[in-house]
Amino acid sequence: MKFKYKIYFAMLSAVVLGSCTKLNEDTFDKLSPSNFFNNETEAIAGVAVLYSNLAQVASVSAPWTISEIGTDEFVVPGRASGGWYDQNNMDIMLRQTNSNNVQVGNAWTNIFSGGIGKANGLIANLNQSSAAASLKIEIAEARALRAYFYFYALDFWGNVPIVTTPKLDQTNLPSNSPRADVFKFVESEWLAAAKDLPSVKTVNKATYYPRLTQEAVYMALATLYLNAEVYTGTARWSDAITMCDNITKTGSYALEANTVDNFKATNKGNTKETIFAFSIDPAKSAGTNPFILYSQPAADQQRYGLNFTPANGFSTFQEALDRYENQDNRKKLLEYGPQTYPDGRPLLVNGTQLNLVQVVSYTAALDNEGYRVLKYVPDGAVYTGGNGNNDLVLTRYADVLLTEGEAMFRSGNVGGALGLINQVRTRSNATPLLTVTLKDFENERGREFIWEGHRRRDMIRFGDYFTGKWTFKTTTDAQTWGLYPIPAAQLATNPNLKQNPGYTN
Amino acid sequence: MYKKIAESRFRDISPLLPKILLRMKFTVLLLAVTLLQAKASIFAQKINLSVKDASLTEVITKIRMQTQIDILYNNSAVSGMKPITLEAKNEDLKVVLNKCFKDQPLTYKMVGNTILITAKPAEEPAPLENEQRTAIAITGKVTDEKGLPLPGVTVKIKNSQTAVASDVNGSYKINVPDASAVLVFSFVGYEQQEIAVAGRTTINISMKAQNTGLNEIVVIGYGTQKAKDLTGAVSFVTAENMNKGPQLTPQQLLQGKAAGVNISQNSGKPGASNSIRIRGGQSLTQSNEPLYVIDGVPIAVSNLGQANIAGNGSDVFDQEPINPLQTLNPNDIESISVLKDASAAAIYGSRAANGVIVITTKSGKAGQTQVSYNGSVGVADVAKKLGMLTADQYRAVIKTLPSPANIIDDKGANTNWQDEIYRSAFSHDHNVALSGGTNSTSYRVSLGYGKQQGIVIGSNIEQANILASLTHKALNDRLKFDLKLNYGQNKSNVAPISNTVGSEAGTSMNYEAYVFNPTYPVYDPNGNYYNIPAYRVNPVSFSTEIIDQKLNQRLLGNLTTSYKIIDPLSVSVTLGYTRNSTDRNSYIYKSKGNSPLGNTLNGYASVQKFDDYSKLMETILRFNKSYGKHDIEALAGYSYQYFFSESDRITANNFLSDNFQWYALAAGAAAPTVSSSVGSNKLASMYGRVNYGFDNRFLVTGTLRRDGSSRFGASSKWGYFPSGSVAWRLSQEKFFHVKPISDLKLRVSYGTTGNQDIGNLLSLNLLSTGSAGYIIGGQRVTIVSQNQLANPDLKWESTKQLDIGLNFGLFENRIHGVVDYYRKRTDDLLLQINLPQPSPVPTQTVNVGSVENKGIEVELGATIIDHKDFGWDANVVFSRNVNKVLSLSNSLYKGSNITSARVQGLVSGGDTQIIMPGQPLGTFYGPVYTGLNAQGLETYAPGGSQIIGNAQPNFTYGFSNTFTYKHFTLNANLRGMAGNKIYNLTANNLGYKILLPGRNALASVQNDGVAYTQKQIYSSRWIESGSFARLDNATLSYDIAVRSKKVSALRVFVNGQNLFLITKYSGVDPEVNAEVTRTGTAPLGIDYLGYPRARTISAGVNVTFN
Repeated sequence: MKFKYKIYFAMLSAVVLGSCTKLNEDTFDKLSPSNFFNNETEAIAGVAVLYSNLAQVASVSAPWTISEIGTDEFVVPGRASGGWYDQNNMDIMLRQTNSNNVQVGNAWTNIFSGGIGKANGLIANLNQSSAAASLKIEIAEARALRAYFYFYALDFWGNVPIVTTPKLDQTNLPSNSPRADVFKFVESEWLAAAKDLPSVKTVNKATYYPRLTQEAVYMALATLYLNAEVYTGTARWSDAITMCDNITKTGSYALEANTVDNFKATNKGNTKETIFAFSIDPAKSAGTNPFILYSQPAADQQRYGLNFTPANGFSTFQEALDRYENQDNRKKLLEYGPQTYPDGRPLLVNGTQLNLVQVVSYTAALDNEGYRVLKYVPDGAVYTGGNGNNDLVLTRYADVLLTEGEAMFRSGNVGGALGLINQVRTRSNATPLLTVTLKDFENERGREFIWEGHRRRDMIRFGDYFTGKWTFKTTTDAQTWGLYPIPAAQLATNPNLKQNPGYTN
Repeated sequence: MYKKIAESRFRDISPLLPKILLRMKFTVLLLAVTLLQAKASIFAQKINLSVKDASLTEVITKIRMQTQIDILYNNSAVSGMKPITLEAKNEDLKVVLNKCFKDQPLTYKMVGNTILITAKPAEEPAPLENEQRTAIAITGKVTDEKGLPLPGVTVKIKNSQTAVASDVNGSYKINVPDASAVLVFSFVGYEQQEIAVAGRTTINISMKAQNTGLNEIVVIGYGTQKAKDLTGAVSFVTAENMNKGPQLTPQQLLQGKAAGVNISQNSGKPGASNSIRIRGGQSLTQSNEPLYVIDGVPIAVSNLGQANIAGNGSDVFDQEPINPLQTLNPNDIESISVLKDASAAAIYGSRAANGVIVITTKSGKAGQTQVSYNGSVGVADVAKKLGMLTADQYRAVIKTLPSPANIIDDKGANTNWQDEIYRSAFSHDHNVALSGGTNSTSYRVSLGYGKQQGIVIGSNIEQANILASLTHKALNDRLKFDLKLNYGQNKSNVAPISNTVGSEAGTSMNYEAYVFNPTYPVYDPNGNYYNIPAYRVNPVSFSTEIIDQKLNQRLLGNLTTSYKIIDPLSVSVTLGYTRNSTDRNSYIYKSKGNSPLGNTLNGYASVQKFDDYSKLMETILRFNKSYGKHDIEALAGYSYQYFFSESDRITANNFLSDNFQWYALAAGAAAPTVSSSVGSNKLASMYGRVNYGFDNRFLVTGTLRRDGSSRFGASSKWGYFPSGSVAWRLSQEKFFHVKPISDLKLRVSYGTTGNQDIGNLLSLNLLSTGSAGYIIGGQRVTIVSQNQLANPDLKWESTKQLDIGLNFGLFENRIHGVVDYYRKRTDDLLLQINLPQPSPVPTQTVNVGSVENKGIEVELGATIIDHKDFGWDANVVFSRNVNKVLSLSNSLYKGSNITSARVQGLVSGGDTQIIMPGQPLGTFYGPVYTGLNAQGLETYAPGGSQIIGNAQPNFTYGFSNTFTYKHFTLNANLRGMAGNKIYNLTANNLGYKILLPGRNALASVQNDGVAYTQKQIYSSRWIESGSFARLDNATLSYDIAVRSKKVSALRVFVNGQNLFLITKYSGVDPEVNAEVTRTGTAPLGIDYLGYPRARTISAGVNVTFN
């Protein structure tokens, strides 16, 4: 062979022999749990996913939607102009839900996969970390957050499997736990976590907000106890009162001057009323608040000088509007009738003043049908696309007052109850009550917490969810509608799961 | 691989020019002044030569270099040549030639300016003059199939040494001893023919080219084989038999041409992707696409980046996967082989379970430089539109609706929005190829360029590509280099047509054209687009308010060095590299007026880049030897392939000016979002194959591949993939005396192949970070979350396949065919199962379950009419595949039925398909529609969801015809399938009055009797028959006989694609697969808002210059 070819073959052989046969994988853009969670900063990065997923119960997302739709304060009519028609929402409203409902399915996935499952994985990883001893708060946080997801599972579906391991044993898949057992699990987890979490009195809000405090967990427990009778058949009024007292006695909480102050973008943990909220900053890809986009009429772009056109979707019923006295400041947060600019000029659409009327059709509503709720007001908000940066509020001190008041009333302390309900009413310039009934508590919660994700739970507790009648709801419904169907996809992956009573498909 | 074909086809006349050139020269010669003058001048040429023990080839090469004359000889005769030793200084050519052929078994003679070397007439000599007088003189003319004279054909008397060659006119004269003599006509590249003299004195004969017969060289994995020696199931299509016409994707060249290969376009978009199923699909949730091997380099399809811009609350953008072969020019493809059974495919081991498509591109041929040009222009129109309510019908139907839905927002116009977004689309396409070379070095360079408008306004594609191939031989042809370099790019403006419009707010250009209020004009009185906020977008506005550009580039290069160590052993080393990149730049203009497009974004730019490359190193040792009746061909190889991919994306919005588009992302006032990802995998393999043949009667093939992949669990990195096959050529047996049957071969094969086409890192426990963060104490915390659970047992999906096949030829192969029966079973299916919740991740990839495919394939070819002026060749392919899921469980996973392909748009219902043991893949599962009740509401059979149809066809067929009449050729290809069902999700969305008045509905709502309150529900009402027959492709061409030295071939043609479609299907096209799952793999048989198909007419020219 000629010399040049010898050289060529030598070089070729070098290339050939240079390739290796090791078959290990490069992980590149992924991390391995075995070399992460080494300190508090890394642990918080893990806990953050739970906060950000739990925020779905307060944002425009499936868990929030299914806790509002089907109540007397929320409707999304299909528009005659060709939008917003969603059969899934209508089915819930008309009590025609079945196990294929997309909203219910998405809510399950949010809560179980995005919440409980992620928490189980994280807790296992944190416990296995060499720095586990220094991660007590983060582990308690993760447990409390997992219990929060379980609380929503308890509320929506009731009989759900209790699982605390990251990976299910395929040969021994869990079956449904009775609702009462799920209640007990949530209760014990919250009680245990509360011990390890710092009190609001000891934390520096500037660096700690919006993480869970002891008091935030007490508020969660108070809500759990308030609904204990629905969940377990046994009332727990005094436990609810104890939890509320635990919060009140810190002296760290008070009502803000106006309800709306809780929802302004400028607050970011500065209000004395907020107990548990979710931080939102869409400009930093850290959560979104699309309430204005989803709800307001298009003309609100001019009214509030927005850089986008709101999509005219979420609305509320005549019944919700009628609950307020005219003098009630909270009524000003509803948009109804002829619309004006803040300075009183009429708000015109094609030369005519926009006049919002009640919803007439849920399939072909005109653009001005439906009253709107201005929850997360644009004052001071910065929008990224259609998303505001208002933090999402889950619990606040007004809820402590109304929870404790209702529990007092139900356990016979009418005087105490009247005092507490009037604290909430006077703040908004509603006429103070002289006497109080149970219905007053239901209505007051309706006024105070409109669109805050409490209404379905409240209406079930008071029974109106089944017996009440309002626009488009003309029937009395079976108690089985108090639980949502377990999604068909879940029944398919876990044959040990049983569908909730009353659902055949 | 290519070189194999070239070698075998031209081996026998190498190192001389291809016969076509020669023929051209002969023809030209007829016009020369006189033969004698030419002859005299040639023989007078002076030669310098000094050789020692040289072969005839070497001598001829040297003479050629000095004289530029052509020398032609028959290879079979050369073997007897003794080594030549001679010295010549400035001697006449004639003297030199005389020296060369002294004492040799060969002699030479002049034919025109060509020297023809033939066997010396055996003792033809004078002493037998008496006998010769009694002999019969036979004369005749030898022509090729087209009737052109064929010089140099050896005409031999059977069982004697007497032979002559035909002259420049194809004429010959031979004396035969008696009337019962048999003449044997043979010529390289043509079938040998034996003709009995039978008393005649004139025998004219037409020689048949060998390229479709049993000696056809078929490209297989890592090599080539003669068709008659194949023991596996291989469909082979060469360039001349492929579908013709411009704007075809490489896959479409094969459509309807190979049995068992079901190719369907996913949409009518220019450069659309295809779904290919070879012998049915077996993988339930992983890719069922075959492995592509281009010039020996396997291409990773799963790594192909799908630059996707879903999200951002916007479904409008096209989500169709990129066609992996989009950058390859069909004009450059020499042949495509489809390896179907385990025997043929197992050499590709763990990647072969879905079959293998081996593509070989064209190479240069030794000879004079040739330049060829192919060009065409075409026009395309939408083949079918959906019948929506016209404006008047819309007004009339709305009047009948209950209040308040009976209020019409009437702007007084009558707009057919589909007409507004479709257009006649023009295209032009050009390809220039330059090829040529010497015996030691040959080359081919081809350039292609084309531009095609889409039938949807605003869309187009511009393609450019280059293919260069170079072959060089050295060291007496023992060392050989083959280099191929292919670069292609296509740049497209993609119409925002999405078939993943999932949510109620979702939209897409064609969706709006279907539903937008027909009483609206396109523009308002101020000349702006009419929109209907909050959600209805003017269909025409998409074409100017959204830019979506994709640039796809692929570089494919490989260099093979082979060296013949010592006969019969050779070694070759292949280094291959492929790089693919996709750049996708998109911009949504600031919302103008009240347009919902771009609302909230205030100018939105997205820049995405996806890059992947793979490098391949392959060493193969080959052994090739015959011992008497025993033929052994064996190879052993090692290969290593590394795949790497990375992607990144930046989006920004809130721009001061639309001028920036994506050129100045920093100008977006909102903080940009960024994301990136990187992945890699490796595949190491050892493989071997032995082909053994005995006496041309028995053939045996054994293959073994051992593959190791980084993708699998620690305990299952390596897998073995064996196969074996035997074939028996009954027709070669002495006892076989069935006259009409010219060829009969029985084949049986069995083996195992694998599928590893899953993502990377699937066996590991992983955490990941995304773009999401959370603010704690005013500081942004990056979210880290569990991304995957470990599965150390993750292993190959394995397919065991039995194939029994029969090849036959009748009437001297005038009718020939292949019949195959196969049964394959796939176990350890790689299934992305939905994990029972709660679980940190929703799904996990595990090995569960089994699927079976069995079927029958028939390929038939026939020359029905073979007249001098008129010919008709027909090919029929037929295949039937029966697919069945056997199990979804193993010891660990008690799998339940898997539902998939969720409804889209406004339709209620969950998933539409089910994977269920005992049923085939693509089974539709839902309520059985039983008609309307008195209130006009839909009713369903009791018992809930049931099986309501299947997307798998009972059978598919292709029928291709070639008619020739003088210089005209007509190719027509009909193709179809029968028995398959389609879920018309488009109609399920659009076929209800409840859409009105906000959205327009299908015209069928006028008299379907369905109540206004009836909601859109998935049921068997929307499952339709998808059977169809389509005239896919027809080409009429005319070969212009050119009498010119400069032009050797000139052909003009007109071509039509998708000329007619016979189907009962009511949607735009039964062959549109909607990718509703967003996984990159479209589920079978779901039609949802597909880009409609075009009907294309084009005209063009092919010309070759010398």
